[in-house]
Amino acid sequence: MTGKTILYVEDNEMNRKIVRDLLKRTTYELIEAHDGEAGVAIALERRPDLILMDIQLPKISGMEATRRLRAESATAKTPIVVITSFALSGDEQKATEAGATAYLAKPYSPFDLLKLIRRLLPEQ
Amino acid sequence: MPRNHGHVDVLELEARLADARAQQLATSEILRVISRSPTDVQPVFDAIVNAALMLCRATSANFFTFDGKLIHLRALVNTSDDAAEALRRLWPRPPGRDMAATRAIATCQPAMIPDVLADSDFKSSVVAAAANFRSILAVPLVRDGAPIGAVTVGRPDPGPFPDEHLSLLQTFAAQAVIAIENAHLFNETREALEQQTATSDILRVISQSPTNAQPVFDAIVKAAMRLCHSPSVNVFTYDGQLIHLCALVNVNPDYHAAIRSFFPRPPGGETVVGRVVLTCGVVIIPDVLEDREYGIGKVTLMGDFRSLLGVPLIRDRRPIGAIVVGGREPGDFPEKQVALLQTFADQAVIAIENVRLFTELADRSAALTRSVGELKALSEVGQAVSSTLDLETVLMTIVSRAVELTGMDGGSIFEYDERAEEFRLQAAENMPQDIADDMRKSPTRKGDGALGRTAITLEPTQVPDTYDDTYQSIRKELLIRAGWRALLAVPLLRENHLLGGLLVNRKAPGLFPVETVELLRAFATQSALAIQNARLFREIADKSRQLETASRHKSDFLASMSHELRTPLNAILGFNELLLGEIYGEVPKEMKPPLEDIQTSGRHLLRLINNVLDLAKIEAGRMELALADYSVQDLVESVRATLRPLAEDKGLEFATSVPSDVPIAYGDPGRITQCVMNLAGNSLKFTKTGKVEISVAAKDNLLVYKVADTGIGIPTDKLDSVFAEFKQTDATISSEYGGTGLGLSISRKFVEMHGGRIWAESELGKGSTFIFEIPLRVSPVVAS
Repeated sequence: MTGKTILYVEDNEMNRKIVRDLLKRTTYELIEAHDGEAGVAIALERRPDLILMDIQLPKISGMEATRRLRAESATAKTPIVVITSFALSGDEQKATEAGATAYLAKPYSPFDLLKLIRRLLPEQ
Repeated sequence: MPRNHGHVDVLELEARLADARAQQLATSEILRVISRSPTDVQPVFDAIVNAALMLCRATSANFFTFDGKLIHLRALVNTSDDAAEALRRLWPRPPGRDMAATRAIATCQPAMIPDVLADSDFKSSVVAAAANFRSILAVPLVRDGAPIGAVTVGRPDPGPFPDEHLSLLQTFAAQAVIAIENAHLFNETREALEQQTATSDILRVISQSPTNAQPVFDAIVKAAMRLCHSPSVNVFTYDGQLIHLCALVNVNPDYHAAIRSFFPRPPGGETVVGRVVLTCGVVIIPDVLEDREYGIGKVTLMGDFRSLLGVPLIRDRRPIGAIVVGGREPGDFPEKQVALLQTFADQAVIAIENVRLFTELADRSAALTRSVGELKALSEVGQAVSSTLDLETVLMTIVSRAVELTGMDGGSIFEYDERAEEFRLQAAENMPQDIADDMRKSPTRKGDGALGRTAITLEPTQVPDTYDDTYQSIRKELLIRAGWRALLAVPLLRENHLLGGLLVNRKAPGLFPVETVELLRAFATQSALAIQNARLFREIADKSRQLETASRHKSDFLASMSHELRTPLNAILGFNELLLGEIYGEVPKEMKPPLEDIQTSGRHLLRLINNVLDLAKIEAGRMELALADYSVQDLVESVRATLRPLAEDKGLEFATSVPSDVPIAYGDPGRITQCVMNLAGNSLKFTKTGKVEISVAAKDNLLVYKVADTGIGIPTDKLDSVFAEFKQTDATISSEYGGTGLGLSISRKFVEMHGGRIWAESELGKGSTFIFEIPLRVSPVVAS
């Protein structure tokens, strides 16, 4: 049984582990990237069904990575959830402008994230 | 009728007729002479003696005038020159009985001596013999009852004169009186006219020469000489100490040099002018040879005068000079001359006074012009000092104004480097390039030249002549080549502290006037102020740059630290939530409360970190508003939804009120939410019972947000300080109620970024109301 694929681009291992643990009990398949450039490369190669993009990333930012993915036809329509570093800082607007489908402000509740994923990408 | 009688009668009648015709002719001839020569009486006298001689068939006829003291022989007709000579030797003489004329004048009556040899009083019978007369008749000339002369006729035979002769002489005497009177009147008129002309000439000179009294003095001596028929006239002035000779005329040119060498001299009895000054009155020396006190060496003898008249020049009752006139003969001076000279003296005083007033006025107006120029220049400099902190501009203004105003050929301003003990060129006006280059290459050392010396004396230093050996400087040759002959350096001092120097240079050697030095001191003060301002500004700029850097470092540090703190905190909260969500398995009942406490404390810590990050960003100027249209209703509703659980937990009434007609607003909804959240959160925190209400109203172009509670309230004197960072009204409050103390401070900053204001109203124990108003639609310019 192959579930829907979610790419999580995040440099912090702890944050990745939370999402990894969160999605363990679901049918979603999680793939991970540790920086912006890798995120773009993996997304283009694996064509995930949804991308969780942290905003602060090594090499290129989540914002720039989102912009690049939107420019590629393969990923132009893939839902991208941008995880902003800090609520109320104005990043939401920038994320939307960059092409994000939705945004979630840190600190987020893991269960709120799961709710958002399920809304954008129903499990089955 | 016997023919003989008739013949005799006819002859006699014819003779009488001839006499009468001759008399008529003579008198009319005399009248003609009188009318022909109205100013000169001599032709009249001559005509009278000739007519008298002929008509009286006399051998001698004389005419005399009387001046009140002596009788002068004025005209005579006689046969021989010897006789005439002898006759002339007898005169002048006083009235008396010794001659017919003296008798007539003494008695004011006709005097007849029928036989001079028989008259015991007649003393000049020898002369009478020579003049060929035995009998003599004298008739006085009488004016206003007083004798003024006499006319005489003499005959060779003794005997009385007929009545016709007496009346004839009386007619001639009357005619002579008229002639003398005429001439007298005429001369008086002419004299008066001459004096008037002279005084008006002098007045003209006075008006033409308001700045110089000399032409007036020159005109006065010439006029006085002419009108007084004087051989010598001098004008002197007296300055209170010495008498100065100002103008002179004298017939003898040698006298000029001689008398000049004696003046100026103090007043004393040896000069007329000295006596005039000492007495402040008119002084007359009737005979300089008789006056023992008078005389300076032999000068007097060269002046060709015997008598002297001195008239004072008086101003404010003090003598300021004199006019001195010499008379050829010893004796007194007529009243008229004294009066005339007093007129001249008055005119000389006017001229002196004119010049004094004119000079005073000119001085004053020059001083005024100078002060106006100084004030203008100094105010320009003051303006430059206060309006610009660009030191070069200020110093250029100062040096160019200073040079312009003091009339120097060039100037420069230096800043003194105390550590290196040298002057650095800052600004220069009219400075040759080679000097400027040299001064920049090797700054003037303390002690070197005029400028260097000011560093030691802290006083203005002059070099009147750079050629002088006493002037020592490494740049001496260079400055001399550039034509700098005189130098003046003024130190720039501030509280006795040397900040620099102002140097001016001049092509002409010589000392600088006190006014120039004083003026440059004023410029130096301004320059010192400018340099000090610039130094202070430099220091302040340095300090504020350092502060800014430090502040930015702090903000950067806080921003990065809060970010670094938050990342692990995120993980803590995330894992804790997963634990509570039983992702890792069932959680025992007794473990749930501590896990929830971890969650609460973690969230509090996170808020704290977020607030610190916000403030750091605001202070670093890196906080930007994300402007967008937003619904006020939705915004307030989201706050209510978030805080409702808290209000319910505390059992507080929690109300919101937003009229439905409040339009869509434009601003940063996230920040405004944060503000309302902070205010409402505080109210809920500090209220134990009662109510918290959020209300919004649109008023004109403003949105007014209000959060009111029935909490503990805030003391009136603390209403403002609650918005300061880390301020709660009381330390005990924070321990009881918790909180970061940053919420209100951040809220205020956000409100201000929106171009609004925030304040609190409160009554202690009854509750508080926090209000902020922001524009309904925020201008992007304000927000940035």
